[in-house]
Amino acid sequence: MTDMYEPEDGLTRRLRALGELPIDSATQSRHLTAMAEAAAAPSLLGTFGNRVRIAVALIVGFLLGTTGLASAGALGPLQPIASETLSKVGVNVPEGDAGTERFRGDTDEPCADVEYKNHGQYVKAVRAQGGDAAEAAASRCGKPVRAGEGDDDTADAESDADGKGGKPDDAGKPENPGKSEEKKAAKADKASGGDAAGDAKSNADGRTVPDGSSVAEEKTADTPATTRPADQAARPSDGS
Amino acid sequence: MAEAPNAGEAYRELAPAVLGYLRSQRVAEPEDVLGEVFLQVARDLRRGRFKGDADGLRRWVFSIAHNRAVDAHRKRSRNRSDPSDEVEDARVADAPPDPVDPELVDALAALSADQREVVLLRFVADLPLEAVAKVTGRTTGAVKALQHRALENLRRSVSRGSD
Repeated sequence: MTDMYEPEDGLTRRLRALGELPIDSATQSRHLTAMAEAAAAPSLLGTFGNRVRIAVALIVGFLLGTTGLASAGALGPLQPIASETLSKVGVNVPEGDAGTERFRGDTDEPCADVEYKNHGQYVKAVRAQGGDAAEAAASRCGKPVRAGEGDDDTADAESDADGKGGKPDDAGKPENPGKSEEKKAAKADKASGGDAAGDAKSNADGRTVPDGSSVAEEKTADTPATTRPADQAARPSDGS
Repeated sequence: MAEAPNAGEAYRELAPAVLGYLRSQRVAEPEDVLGEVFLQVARDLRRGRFKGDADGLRRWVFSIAHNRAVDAHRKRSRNRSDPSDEVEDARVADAPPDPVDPELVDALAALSADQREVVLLRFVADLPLEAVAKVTGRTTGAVKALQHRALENLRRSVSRGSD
């Protein structure tokens, strides 16, 4: 393939000779084996037909999965949409309730006439209306209906009876439930320059108790002295 | 419709020229890269990615080889600060002299990358000017000019070496 620009000469012949050295048989055999293996290996995405098959399988899998979830009523907020869509093609699935069913009160335990979506909102709304927030918090209003249902009560009763397990009635509650109220009262007094603030300052360790007496006083009154009791001090040691 | 080329036949016909091209481009481990080139050729032929005649096959195979050589050089220059690459550089530097024409390969190494690329594709790969232009992404005129300058420089280097 010589052209008019570069006539064949010694240099071009030498250049062509660079590409004419035969490959040793071991290397050649290694390469040909690898090529044969590569050619024989099945390729999942190799041909157009395979790609189409994979795409169809994915679509069918998606449809089956979605329909399965819809018929189980497990699509959550999408359940009504799925129900409506599938009903058009003759597949009946539950409509769903577009969310979790919540307790709205009954004859035994009526709920206040306020707007709420969950228990937290119920308590907030009751408090905002000047109602008893503590009672609202203790009620089931706004809680999921299914919560606490089932065999749990039986299990709790059994575990309570044998005393081995179960959740105690005051589980999760703070040890001193009135403390936060006291803190609030103290803060309010402090803001208004009341006596509680003065009392707190005058205490040795700065802590206050509800009646204004210091914690140090409580300690003195309730706990024994750190010194060894007289009877123990007087008792001679056994070894000596 | 032309019969699809066989990868094994393509190897037997083109592998010596591809190896000479890779060796002259001073690619590290040219035999391994040659294997990679023809592995890709075999896979692509099986997937029906090549359709053409013998000349087209030659150009296509050397396009793959050219890309592999460019990748190898790029990788080496990018990782020059990498200590592991110093080992690779040393391997290239310590490579045995070219078994065919060490003087000419040294003269080729002194050319610019563009000139060396063109002259190797033209004479070692035995591709026509138009094919070299397509493989390198240049115009035919630019390839001609590069080839002319490359051959001039090579002649000077080789004659100086033989003096």
